[in-house]
Amino acid sequence: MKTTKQVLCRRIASCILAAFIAAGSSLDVMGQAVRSDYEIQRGFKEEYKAISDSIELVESLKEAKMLFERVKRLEDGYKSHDNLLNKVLHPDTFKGRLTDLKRRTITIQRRMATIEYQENKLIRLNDRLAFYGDHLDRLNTRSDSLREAIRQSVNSEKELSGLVRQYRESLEKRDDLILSFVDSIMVAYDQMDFQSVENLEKVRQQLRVDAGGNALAMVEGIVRENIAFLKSNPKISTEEYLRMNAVQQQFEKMWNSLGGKITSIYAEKSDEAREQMNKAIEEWDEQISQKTWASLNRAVSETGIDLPEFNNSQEFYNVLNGFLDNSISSSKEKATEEGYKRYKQFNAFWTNQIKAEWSAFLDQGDVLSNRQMASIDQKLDDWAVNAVPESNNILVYLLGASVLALVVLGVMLAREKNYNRS
Amino acid sequence: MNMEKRLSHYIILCALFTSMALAGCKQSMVISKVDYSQPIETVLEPDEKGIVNDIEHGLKFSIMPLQYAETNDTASVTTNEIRMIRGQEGYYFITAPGYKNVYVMKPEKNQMKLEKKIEVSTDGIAKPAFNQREPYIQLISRESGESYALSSKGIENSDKNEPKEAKVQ
Repeated sequence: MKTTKQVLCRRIASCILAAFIAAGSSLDVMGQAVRSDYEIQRGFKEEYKAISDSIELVESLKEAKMLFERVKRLEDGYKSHDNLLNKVLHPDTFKGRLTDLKRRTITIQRRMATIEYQENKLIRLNDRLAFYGDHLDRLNTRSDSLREAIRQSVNSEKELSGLVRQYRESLEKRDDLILSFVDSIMVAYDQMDFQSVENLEKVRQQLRVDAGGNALAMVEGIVRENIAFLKSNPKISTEEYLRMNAVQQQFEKMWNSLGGKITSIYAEKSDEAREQMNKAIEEWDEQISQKTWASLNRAVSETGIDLPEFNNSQEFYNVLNGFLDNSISSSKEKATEEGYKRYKQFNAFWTNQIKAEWSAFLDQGDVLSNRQMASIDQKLDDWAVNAVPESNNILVYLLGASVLALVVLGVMLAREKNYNRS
Repeated sequence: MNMEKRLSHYIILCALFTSMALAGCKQSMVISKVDYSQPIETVLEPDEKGIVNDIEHGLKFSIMPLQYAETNDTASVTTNEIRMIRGQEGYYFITAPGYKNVYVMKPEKNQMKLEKKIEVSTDGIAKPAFNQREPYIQLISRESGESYALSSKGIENSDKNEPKEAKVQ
């Protein structure tokens, strides 16, 4: 019974709705009946102009879609007057005007879709940057407090070495995080069509306000922290300096590639901000370069290898090459015990230290490229062939000959014994 | 001598007739079946002197003689718009809101001459509009939906030429 009532109610509601729609249609027909041709063409022209003007003002995909629907309604509403409109719009046509509007609204729909996609991507990136920012702040704080603890430490050597180990781990994690940040920012910003995003001032404003994910603020923070850290003259190993140098180089490459995009989005005065950052990154570069080369010079001299001082990549490579060329040449002239000792010393430093522990940082930090290292490897092999002293060679040959003679003699004796038994 | 004189007279007369005939031929060239019809009426606003200017069609004139014919008043401009359309034959059909008549005007050199004054309503049409419905001009009242098929002769009784959308529903 209840169901029947519900069905009845629904039918009545449907009838009322249908009546309203019919009345609306009828009114519409009546409305059209007293429209003159002049009003029809004026109505079409006004709506065409309104849609055409609105296309320039569209700010969202939703608006673009609504506009496309409006174009379709315009077409449906006026297609019965196409002959009249063709005369009025000459040399344009009704169909031509509609095609033009559709094309423009479809273009704006696509553009808005791209912008919204970029906008979402940028917002997601900002969330990720915010995460990096928090994490980096925590690691910086931890590194600072550990450094302070080490400075003030009056505890046992064991505890101190524990603190130093933690401090180094913390620095390493921080550098890894900066590299991850650089990778993320490179991938995300490089693929982005900033031409479309730049048109959306509101997105830029939103991103500028959202300091948590402000890429420019993060870049500034990282650079500032690193400069301050380096100016504090930290007592860290050559490997750590090389790692920090590699981080700086990667960071600088990222900035050179994306600095313009980042400042155009996040800074009010783009050029000014970029100039400031360029200077700061240059200072970071100077600081890390100076300390890395000093540390590397120290590390070389500590091994006892006598190399001239070097202060940049090219000088370092030239010094190594010069040293190897001279050593090879000397060995070729006369291989001495002293020369052989120097070879072993250099080989140990090159193989166990430079290649085993530093090679990745050398390449990333533009200290020595993999190609240059391969070239040095080749020269080292050449030196190895010529480094062994001749006296030693004769002894080796004599020893070899003696062993061979003993083996032959042993074999012959064994065969003799077997023969006698049989 | 007389003979020579007569001959010269004949030659002069022949030349005169030939040149007249040639001149006559030039003037008698006619392009027929010209369609002057304007697809859409023009709605013009008169200035304070009653001058309307149809820039699109290149036409400028004073509406004061029409106003005088309609209201016997030329003290000031009493209408804020006039509606005008040109028919197939080239006549201008002119009226204005509240006018009882449609004025069929024939264009001539520097002037328009009244061809026909068609009375369409005793009370005047408050919201008139013209539509081009060849071979007629359709006058509609946008208020009541009434429509009239007009020609330079007057109101035509030709329902079949009236478009359905202009009929009273």
